Amino acid sequence: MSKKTKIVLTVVGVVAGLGFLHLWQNVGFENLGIGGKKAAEAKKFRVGFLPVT
Amino acid sequence: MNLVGKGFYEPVRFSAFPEMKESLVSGYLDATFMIVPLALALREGGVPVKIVYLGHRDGTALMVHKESNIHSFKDLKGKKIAIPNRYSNQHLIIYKGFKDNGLSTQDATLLEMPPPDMPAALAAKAVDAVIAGEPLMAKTELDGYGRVLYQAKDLWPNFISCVLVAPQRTIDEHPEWLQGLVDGIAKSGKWLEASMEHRMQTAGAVGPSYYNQEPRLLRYVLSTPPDRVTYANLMLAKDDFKRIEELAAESGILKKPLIFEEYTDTRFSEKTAGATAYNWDGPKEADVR
Repeated sequence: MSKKTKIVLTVVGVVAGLGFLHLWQNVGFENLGIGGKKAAEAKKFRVGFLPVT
Repeated sequence: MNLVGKGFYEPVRFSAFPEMKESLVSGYLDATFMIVPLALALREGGVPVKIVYLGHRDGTALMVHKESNIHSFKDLKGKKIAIPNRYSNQHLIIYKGFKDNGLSTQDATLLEMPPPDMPAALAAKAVDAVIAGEPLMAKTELDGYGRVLYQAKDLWPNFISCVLVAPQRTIDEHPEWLQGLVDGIAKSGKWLEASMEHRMQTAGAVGPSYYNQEPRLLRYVLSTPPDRVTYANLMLAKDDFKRIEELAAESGILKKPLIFEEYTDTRFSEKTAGATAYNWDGPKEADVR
């Protein structure tokens, strides 16, 4: 593998990694339908209350 | 079972009802415990929510400063009274108490105040009386400056304050989750009522976690007197709500009469008939963090 090819692959890898990180942190895979079942399983049933009877 | 939201049901604590209302309307909450007239007002305003169960009965007290000369409703004429919200059953108790004594709420100054702020306001004598759910009223007693003028049960037997309210979205899409919650409340209530030991165990567990209050205060609330707050009969009953509807309409809180069958969904409540207490040894240290 030539030096040029290595550099191109490294750049592509970094860009793909950053893209993956961006999707995970800012968009949320559940919004894209990726891993939807797992995300649905993690949903909690939120119940509000005031600390008075 | 756990007590701090490690499981499927996640408790979300609020310090005032307006924020809770916004969270319900925005869809953040899947269900919430809420004061009855506020739930009715939401329905009246077209918000698709329904009352599905009760949270407890009684559990409200009207407190005055122990040095005051207020000993009856008539003595509250011309005084400042803090209420949790215009849309609260505590407001309705004050309305009814004045009416029963030939007075009206126009004869006093009613101030809306978040319940957690009430003890300090009474201690500083910024108001003459406060009324809200426990344990905040008992706190004024334990801290040495509050005196019970009336317990809600003395003025309004089987008083209802908080109810479980669910958006129609939850009812339609996840009825099994809601039924699980209602069943849990019913069984917990039966368990609490089974013995004073259970009440004391609960006070020790939920004080630091859910309520952020001293266990000593909750032990006092759940025992002095033992029927200060009750959890045995939490099923929806039309007659209980009829009285609230009438007072809310009469006092101007609601603009028009509401129909019980439209603002409640009794199916979840009906399935708790014959519910028995949890077979549970009580909260463990690990359950409460």
